[in-house]
Amino acid sequence: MSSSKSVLSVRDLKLYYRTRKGVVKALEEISFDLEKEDTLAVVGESGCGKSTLARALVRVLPRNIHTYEGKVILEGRNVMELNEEDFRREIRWRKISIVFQGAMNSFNPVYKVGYQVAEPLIIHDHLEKKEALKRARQLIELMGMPGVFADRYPFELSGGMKQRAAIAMALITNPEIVILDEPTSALDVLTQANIINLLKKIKNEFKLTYIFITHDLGLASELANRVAVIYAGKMVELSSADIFYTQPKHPYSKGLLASVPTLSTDRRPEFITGVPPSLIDPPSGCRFHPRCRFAWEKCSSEEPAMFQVGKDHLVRCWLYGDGK
Amino acid sequence: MNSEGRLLELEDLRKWFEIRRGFLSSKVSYVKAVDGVTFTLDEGMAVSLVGESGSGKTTLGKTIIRLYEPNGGRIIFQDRDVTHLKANDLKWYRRMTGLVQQDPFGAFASHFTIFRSLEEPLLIHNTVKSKEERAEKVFKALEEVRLTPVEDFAYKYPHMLSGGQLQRVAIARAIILEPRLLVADEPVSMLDASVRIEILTLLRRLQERLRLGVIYITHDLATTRFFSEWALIMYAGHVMEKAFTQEILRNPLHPYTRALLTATPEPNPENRNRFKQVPPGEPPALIDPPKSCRFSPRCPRAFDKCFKEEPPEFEAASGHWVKCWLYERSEGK
Repeated sequence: MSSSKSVLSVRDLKLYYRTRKGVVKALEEISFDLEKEDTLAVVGESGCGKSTLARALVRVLPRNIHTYEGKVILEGRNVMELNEEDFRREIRWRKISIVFQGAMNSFNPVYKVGYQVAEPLIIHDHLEKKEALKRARQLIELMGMPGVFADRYPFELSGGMKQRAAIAMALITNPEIVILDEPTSALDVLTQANIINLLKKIKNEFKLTYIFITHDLGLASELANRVAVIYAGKMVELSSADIFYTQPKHPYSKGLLASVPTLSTDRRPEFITGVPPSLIDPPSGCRFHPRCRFAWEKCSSEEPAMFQVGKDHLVRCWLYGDGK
Repeated sequence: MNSEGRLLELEDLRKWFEIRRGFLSSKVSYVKAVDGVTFTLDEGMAVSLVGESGSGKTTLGKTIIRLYEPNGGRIIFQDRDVTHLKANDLKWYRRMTGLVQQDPFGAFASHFTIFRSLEEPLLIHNTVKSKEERAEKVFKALEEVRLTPVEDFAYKYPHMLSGGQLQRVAIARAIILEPRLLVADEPVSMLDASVRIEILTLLRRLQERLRLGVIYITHDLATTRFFSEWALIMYAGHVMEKAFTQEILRNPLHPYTRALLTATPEPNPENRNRFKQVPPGEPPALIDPPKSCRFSPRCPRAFDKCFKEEPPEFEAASGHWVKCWLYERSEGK
């Protein structure tokens, strides 16, 4: 699966949080490869660990980390070995940047938008403020906003405009990989469609690689050429978008897709019964087995590996294991 | 629709919020959040109010159940004018209506058990006197929303339940006084996709079983289809289009409705290869909205008249109303 063309390879990424109630196993055995100009959609329900994955990749983590290990190979180099200062200087925003969930509400209210977009250039490239502001303004215009918006304060901009500015902020240092963590979740439908159009446009122009974190499978298909499904901290399916949307394999993926109401077909949406498990004390065996219609004894006793079911298609389910 | 079994009638309903510009200034302007809504709902039917944020859909919902007092128009509920009810009459109307809001996590007092939260409306309205009867009602409501075994859930605190479970409790609380009309304001937008369908299916079942009128407020056109008979498309305080839900989805007429349909994402791997044709821009400020059609500044099909005059509602097809000049001629005059 791994190839020399990969811009990013993640191997067995593991992240545990320490809490008063016990250790939360937020992410385990996360492995995937990204080629240049891929868009990997990471989908799953709230609390499944998809935002944790985004944060783990740019190393923006809370203090209560219990375990943080695995390999993150960027251009042939395992960046997990870098110390915090080197990671900040060479990787974060230089190679990988992120548009956080609700980024539009995270602007500093007392600085002008243009300055906040320019700030990474001043910090990382030691650019003169004037030059950085000029670049920020150009980028803001490229995002489909009037350049004068650079001189406005965040409260003077609408949600959609602030989100555009947040995207500009993530692009200003010319990173190769941009993580989009629910970039449109608080926006209206029409504004969302406009932002998605923008993301498609700049992906082509800047030759970007995206990791698109979302709970919305419909929205995911707007950008993704590959899809990773996460359930209770583990990846359960990884495949191309073309295969995933037409022939999903994992019972959880099938359930998720069946729950999306569509306008174009008469299919009645269905739901998955039960609730996701606690990550402090996850179920034995397959973590999905208590909610799975197809589960048998093996599913509760033994944990399935990621089985290869087709070219570039992996599924963590006993239905597809052991030569089945 | 015949007047038999009619639950709710709105006639040119308006809710304007007063704002004063500047300290000590006596100059008053208005935010025209709901501006002239006319609609009829029969018993046991559900209507979707669809619109983006700021379209006035929540204000309309809250005005209908009289959390806001209208500034104009009338609300007729079961042949009774409830537009300006006061005191005890209003309390009666509170019993007849229920509300489920968006955020289930903020909907409950954290120091009340679920039982106590559900008992509260019974205590306030004093409809059942004895403690035993109240307990019976609470358990019945929990059963109604399928939080079983009820004893397991009744004595839990809100933080012990998931979002989906809490939203069920919110529904139980909204129906415990046996109302005739339920307003569900974005009841599932904070929940996960598969839980959404679970909650909407539950609401639908209650609507049918209890013959409840349901007003389902949503920004998600895709969920209206299986969960409401009627749909009203709102934009900037106006109803742009109203018809049977199936009719609106099959044959959308208003350019805004069409834009909404186009913009709604559907799972399809081919989406990544194409751009969506959606109008740019954003909804107008409701303090000083366009005097003409409120969608005209963004409308791809707008012509001269659209910028000059506000269109009335034209009946473009039987039972299918649209507030758009494009359909002026199609009205059989």
